[in-house]
Amino acid sequence: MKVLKIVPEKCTGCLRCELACSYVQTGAFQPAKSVIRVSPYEGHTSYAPYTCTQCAEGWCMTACPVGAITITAAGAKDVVDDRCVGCKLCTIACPYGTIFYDHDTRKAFKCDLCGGAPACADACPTAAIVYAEAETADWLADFAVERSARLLAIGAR
Amino acid sequence: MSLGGYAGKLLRVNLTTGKIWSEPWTPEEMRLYVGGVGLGAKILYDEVGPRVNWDHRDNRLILATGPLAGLPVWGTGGLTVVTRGAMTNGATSTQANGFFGACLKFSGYDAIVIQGQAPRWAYLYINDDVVDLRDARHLLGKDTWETQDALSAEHGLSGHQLSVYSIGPAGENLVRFAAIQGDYGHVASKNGCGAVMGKKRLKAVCIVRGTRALAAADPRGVIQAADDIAHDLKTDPSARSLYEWGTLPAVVGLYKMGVLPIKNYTTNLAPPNVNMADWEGPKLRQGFDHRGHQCSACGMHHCHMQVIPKGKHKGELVDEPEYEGWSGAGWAIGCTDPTAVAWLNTRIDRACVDVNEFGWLCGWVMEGIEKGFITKAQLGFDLGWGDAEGANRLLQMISHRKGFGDLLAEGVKRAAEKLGGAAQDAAIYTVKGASPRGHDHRARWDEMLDTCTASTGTLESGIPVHVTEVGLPPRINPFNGEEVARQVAGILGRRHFEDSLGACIFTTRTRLENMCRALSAATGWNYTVTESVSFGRRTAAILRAFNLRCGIGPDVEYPSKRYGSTPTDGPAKGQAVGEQWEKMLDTWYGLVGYDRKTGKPKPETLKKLGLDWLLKDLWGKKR
Amino acid sequence: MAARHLIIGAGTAGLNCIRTIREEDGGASEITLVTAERPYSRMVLPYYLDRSIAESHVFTATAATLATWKVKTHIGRKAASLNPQANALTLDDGTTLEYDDCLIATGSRAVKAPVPGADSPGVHSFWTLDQARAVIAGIAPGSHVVMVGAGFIAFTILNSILSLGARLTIVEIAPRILPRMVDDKGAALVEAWLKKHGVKILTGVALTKIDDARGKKRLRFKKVGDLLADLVIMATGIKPNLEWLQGSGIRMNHGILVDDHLRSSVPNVYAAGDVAEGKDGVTGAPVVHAIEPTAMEHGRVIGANMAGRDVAYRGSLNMNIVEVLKLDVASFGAWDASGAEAFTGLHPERSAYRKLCWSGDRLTGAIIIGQAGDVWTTNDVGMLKGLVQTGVRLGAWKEHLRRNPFDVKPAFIASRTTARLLPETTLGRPSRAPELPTTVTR
Repeated sequence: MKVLKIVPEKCTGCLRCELACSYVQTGAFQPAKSVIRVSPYEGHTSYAPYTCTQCAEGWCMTACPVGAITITAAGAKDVVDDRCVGCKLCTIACPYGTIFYDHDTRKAFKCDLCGGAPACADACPTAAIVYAEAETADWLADFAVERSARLLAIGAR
Repeated sequence: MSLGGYAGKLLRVNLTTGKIWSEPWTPEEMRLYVGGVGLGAKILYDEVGPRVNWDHRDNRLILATGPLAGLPVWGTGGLTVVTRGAMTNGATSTQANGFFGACLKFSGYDAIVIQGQAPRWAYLYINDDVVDLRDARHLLGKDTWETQDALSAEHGLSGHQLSVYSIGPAGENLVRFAAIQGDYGHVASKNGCGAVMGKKRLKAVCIVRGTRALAAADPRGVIQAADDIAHDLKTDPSARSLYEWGTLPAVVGLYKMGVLPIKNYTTNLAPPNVNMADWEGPKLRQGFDHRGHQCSACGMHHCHMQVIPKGKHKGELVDEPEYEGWSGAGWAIGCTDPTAVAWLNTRIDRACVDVNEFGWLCGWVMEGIEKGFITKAQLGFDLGWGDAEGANRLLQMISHRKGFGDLLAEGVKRAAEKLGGAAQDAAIYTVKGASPRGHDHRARWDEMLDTCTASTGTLESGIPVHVTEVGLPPRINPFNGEEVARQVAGILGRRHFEDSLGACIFTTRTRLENMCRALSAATGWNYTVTESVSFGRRTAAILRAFNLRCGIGPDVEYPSKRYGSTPTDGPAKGQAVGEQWEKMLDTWYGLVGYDRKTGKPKPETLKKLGLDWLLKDLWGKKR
Repeated sequence: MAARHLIIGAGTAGLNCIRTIREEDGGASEITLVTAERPYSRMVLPYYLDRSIAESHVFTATAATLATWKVKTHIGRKAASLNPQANALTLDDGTTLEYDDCLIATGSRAVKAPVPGADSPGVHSFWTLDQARAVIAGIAPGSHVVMVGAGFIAFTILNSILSLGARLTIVEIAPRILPRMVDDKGAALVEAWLKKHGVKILTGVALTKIDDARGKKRLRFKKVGDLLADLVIMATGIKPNLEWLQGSGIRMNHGILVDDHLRSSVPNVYAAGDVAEGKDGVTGAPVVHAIEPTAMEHGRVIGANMAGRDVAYRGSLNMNIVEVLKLDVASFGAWDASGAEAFTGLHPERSAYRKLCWSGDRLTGAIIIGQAGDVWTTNDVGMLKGLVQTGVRLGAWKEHLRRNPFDVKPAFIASRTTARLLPETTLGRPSRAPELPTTVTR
């Protein structure tokens, strides 16, 4: 299956992926509605995007009381809008923190891989997000460990 | 429903009374004034009278962004600061990037207009509809990075969830060339805007990344235009090295033209122990732990964070110096150790002064110590060429106005005028009071002319790229004053257009046509290159009218003696700008349609620009 | 193995069990379902109450779905008694059903405060679909609704009541609201938020009686004055439906005691959901969570085991989320463990609150409160769940979180929580997408 492979070393924190994602989600530019989120490491010197891994368990999907989350042809767990009632159970069931609730539409929303052509990967100017055939993995941990050692050391002082 | 690209509201803050309100602006105003400096110039002209000096409480500090900020066009987190600045006591337009503009737009505002003076130190907090002034006394004395760290921790928000623009100790202590710094390494540095902020007792503006939607009239069109602009930046020879290496290649590039300022303009030759090949762009990134630190939506490999690899400051996080840093914190003061420059440059950003002015000032002090027009006793310590640690000591003295630092805090022009004689002869400044950029403009006459004639405290003509688009020749002889003046006049106001969009000086290094297309897609207008040119000139005319009302006219449009001198070595040896200066001004005035004697935009120029309302102010009978 | 499975109860646990059996065996076994009501989701009744969904939307399995799954149904029937020795269940109409294995998932029911007048017309519970229908029929714009009880169940319908245009007063006998969902500090924040938005709240008041007063209900209290209401909703607790198992020999405490495969004291009788006292994911101790996610996990694990697989139950995480007037309130795990080390963070102006509870350097519980619009804060909710669920060791990040309990993301990621989670599945295989019930219109 093709997955969103994250290459954190390449991310510069420009957040263009969030703009692209929110545009696909809403038709406007609104990072608050993006399902890919760039977070900082080492205070403010390093960044990496983070989004749904389309995990095997599908915690959001199994938690949904009305079966509103399904698996698309691209292999993404996807919210079926007219089934979702907005109960938010999925948002606390997902242990990755990658499904969100939109209080304007009163629906849950998450990464659906844009139906197989993810806008975030297209928008990334540094190829830090690549849509590729791969086994999904913990793309960020090594990077995050390295890029937080200093922060933790400063805090321990 | 607001016009696409715009949040639609201006945020107003009166620090004296604590009143905060927002006001809409109309689509007609948006089209006329666009945003950034265009919008700021109009507000400044309307609201800041001639008696309202830079340090008057009624002075306005306008933090404006523009219609492209927050959109996926590269480098669109833009902030333009417009105010009556401390260096020239005239109009100011100075830019920084980072995420300010994007955060502000997503919060629902296109600009913040600040007036008054806070009864006690405050910072402005913006979180969508929640906007208030908060006690900043616990932040006093903190440098700009410490201030952002503290606010991040205080609000439990990290990285780009918060954009903080603040002043460091230099701003608090009203250092005349204090800057406003934000998002770890982005500085609106010109004309003492940080001193204005300090005078207002405003320590910081802290914007929580807004949650609102920003619509575009044609969002696909915006993305398409952004892609085309990116293509230009990646492939056009004038921008490609910027894309790859930011402004680093400028060090060697400008050195080869005699434009790299070395040791306070005393030479244009690198010392014999320096191999310029070590100063190639890629080389400057080698040996550092490098981390991209881009502005909103930017794909340029320009802004970086780095970790000092060796020496006393090993392990410290710094902002990779921009070209201006390599020059102001480096070559201009004779410092050619890249590690030391990188460290000092960030100290300058954190204390928060203009790195250019610091370079001219520090280089001048170093020359003074060497030649004796400043004594060690006066300074309190010895300061030789290239001494980065000593330069930092000087910086701290200035930032806290300690000892001799109190005089230096007035900037090199005022300090030199005070000392007079050889000291005055050695100082680099414009008579108007503006600090030149970190170049040796004796080999870059276009920028010298622009720096001296501009009404912004810095430049207003723009970088001469894609000039054929506006009917100018692709190349000129840089030492032919006539050709130089024609070029500068021909692109007058291009910078104002760029600085009104909420974009960056580097990501606008594309054809105007592309920028206009992005603007049209965002707003739904049919914005043409012609309109952008007349917009830029309109803004320049308004700023000029403002300055004239403040008493700043053609009599101060001159370089200082050293600034306008003739290089004695290097590639531009013997090229004497001074000899052609008056002729350059004549040509420039003729072409921009301003009156050579009074400096006023001529009535026909005003009419052509749709500035009939300025006619009476400038040419009408005295009331 | 063509076994005969008997499923008692068509709530979350029962239906997940059936679905999982069919995922595993493709229809080979025999499944019989006994249920008092047509299968629907209680979780979504609040959205039916405010009419944001049609009634047909609440049903989780239609006759057609059940037929596709080859399930024999006894809808409208209640289980009357169980004879584990004979592997037989007797229904309330006397029918006897035999099984090879059986799931007890009879759920719970609402209980009212024991005061005179509690059973009179106009005093409602909000638990079943029928009760929801009755409340819908009773509320009109401008109605004054008095909610007795300020727990999770009450809070799930606050938004709906207010959006119907009713005025709302909440009365609670305890000194504060949400006693089993958040701590005192969190409760105070939520209470202030509700009051700011016009909801009247009376805590520490004991209801003594409800009587009729000129077409309205009059509520009398021990110390404070009377309240007049158009409609009273009692959200004063729920009770598991276990009475019918008296004498069956199944071992029970607060619920049916189950082992690590969710088997009761009788090995071919499983228990799930609100009637099961299963392992808590954090403490490992037996507990009745009585929450939807636990029922779902119970049902799936049991379904796989009934289908012949050996799937151990790792325990579920206690968790709740409710949004009231765009304030998100969520809690996980052992957020109220007495004596546990806890860090808190509060931003009163943003109504944002965090509590992180620790055992050593592992997160064992959390509370998170924040405005729904404050997305940069509230979106950490899932990561907190992940940290509690995995019990990943946070090491030096613990100190970081002490200083900044809101900065969860880097701690989550640098502690390799994702790597821990990726191989985790409840059933030892990827989950399948649910078959979506065809929406029925009546």
